[in-house]
Amino acid sequence: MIEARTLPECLEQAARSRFGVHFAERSGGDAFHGYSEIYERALVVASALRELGIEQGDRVAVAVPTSLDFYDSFFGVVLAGAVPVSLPLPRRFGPVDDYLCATGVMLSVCGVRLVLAGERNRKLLSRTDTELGTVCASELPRGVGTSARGAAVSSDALALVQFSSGTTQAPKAVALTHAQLLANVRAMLGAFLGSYPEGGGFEHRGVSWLPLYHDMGLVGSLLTALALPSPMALMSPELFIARPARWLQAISRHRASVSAAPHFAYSLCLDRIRDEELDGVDLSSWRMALDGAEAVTAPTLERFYERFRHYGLREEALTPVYGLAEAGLAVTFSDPKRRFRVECFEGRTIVSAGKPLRGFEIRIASHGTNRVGRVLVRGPSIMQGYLGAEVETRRVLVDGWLDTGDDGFIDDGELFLTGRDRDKVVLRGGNYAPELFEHALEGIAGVRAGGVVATSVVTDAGEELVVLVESRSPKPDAVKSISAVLSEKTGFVPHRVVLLDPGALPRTSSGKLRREEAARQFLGR
Amino acid sequence: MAMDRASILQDVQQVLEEHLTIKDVAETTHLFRDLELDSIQQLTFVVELENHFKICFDEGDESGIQTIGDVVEAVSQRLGEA
Repeated sequence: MIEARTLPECLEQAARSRFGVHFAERSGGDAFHGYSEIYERALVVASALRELGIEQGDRVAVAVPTSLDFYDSFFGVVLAGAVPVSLPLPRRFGPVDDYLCATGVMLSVCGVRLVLAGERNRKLLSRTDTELGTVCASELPRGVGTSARGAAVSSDALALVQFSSGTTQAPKAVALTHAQLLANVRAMLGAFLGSYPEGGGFEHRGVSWLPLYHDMGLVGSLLTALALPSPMALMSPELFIARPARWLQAISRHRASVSAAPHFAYSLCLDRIRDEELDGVDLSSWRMALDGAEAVTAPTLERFYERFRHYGLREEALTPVYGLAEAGLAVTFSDPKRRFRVECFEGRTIVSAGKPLRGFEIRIASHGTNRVGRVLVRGPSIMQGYLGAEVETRRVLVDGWLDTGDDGFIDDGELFLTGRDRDKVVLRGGNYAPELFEHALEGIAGVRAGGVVATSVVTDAGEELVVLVESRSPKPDAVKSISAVLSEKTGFVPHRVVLLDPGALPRTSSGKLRREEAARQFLGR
Repeated sequence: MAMDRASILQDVQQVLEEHLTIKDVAETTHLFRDLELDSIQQLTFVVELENHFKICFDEGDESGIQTIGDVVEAVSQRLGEA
């Protein structure tokens, strides 16, 4: 298994292999770049960054879409001994001012000195304020003399900052050291490879369209392939969203064995892929269709299998998993050699998220003899904490255990999630603060200020947004205007809008909304 | 490549119908109020517009776009620059 102790060592080792990354092009082809080339290019960027004044341990934001440019930027920062801060990219059509405001707070919380952007978002990010401004890796001055290797960094040094759910004012910047990050990568690779001991014919070949600012894309896909090393094929999330068939075509073309996606992606494939797009597609190489980052529902998995088994999909390949940015990424994997397992709980069918990865423990903190309670996780990749948020860090990290905020129970060593942390709304694999949706509705005629609760419900298709809105004499088109505002400001159209009388939402004595109680009262859970 | 406004509108309508099965839009149709596009549809729309017209929007270019008329205007500007 992997011996590298730090990200620079990972890249150095990968550079000595014959592997590399295929980047999907819009036109349909792929462009291949070997890790040796990626390493050389990153060394050039690292030298240029040092020339610019970036020092060991400095934080540099990386906001670059999936491309060779991402590798140049991210690993340029890594080889310079600096810390990449992985920034979300703006939503197309989204309100730019909100994005810039949220990004500005993220940059300041992390003490970012420089922003590396892509060619298409450089202009936009130039409107943020950092000491050294915003540049593209390709524009950095060259020919300043490239060092022969990357900076020596300690495995206990900060390696990456990635964002979890958090409000605009208080983003949750998850800080991970090299040792923590690689412990998670190692645990995932252990699950991939350990499932197929010698002779099992398993070779790790990945395909991913996940955003690289998302832990599942960066840690789960890009870094696992790099650390092994093994072949990886990447495409941009846009390509997948616009043409979901491109994902399955890529799996077939690259004979991929591992490809992960949030649950909504499996639904999207069912809704949008036409049979004629799958001519010649063979999914028999796909041994692990990892499905996580939001609630996994059995009907979607069943429908996905029924539809795509005609293209060689194995039923046991559908592998529900559980993880969170605060744990590096992965915590539990279900057995990739067995059909997914379900249990009935209070009339609902719950899909098992599997057992903890090697080195990880889960336990349920519950009251009395109740078998359902808060899911706590312990393991070698649990974050150091949230940057600039000591109180919040102390709240979720107690005696080495991470409070996930999610509820569940354990049966035969497997984790079953029964309820979501009400302090976040999980949609399409992304974690959002409820305030994002609640504040978007402020000032709308008829909506009572401070009288909105945003949460999610699990439908057959996955998790969907629901808003509970207190409204004084609602107009006939109130639901429609609420949907329109959410669509414009957040990109999510609510599955349900529940209109309530003023004062109907449960509050604490100090007037704070009790989301958990509201969801139970009005959504029956 | 220059294109007149009416032909751009026609092509935008074609992209919407082909990729999002949305019909009967006019310049005044509002993307959020009338069509209630979610982020998946918004992204699909942008990518397919770029594919169709062989243009590339910069991030932030589409910000402020509210109606089909705004889309036509943005496409027209990009085509003019090409």
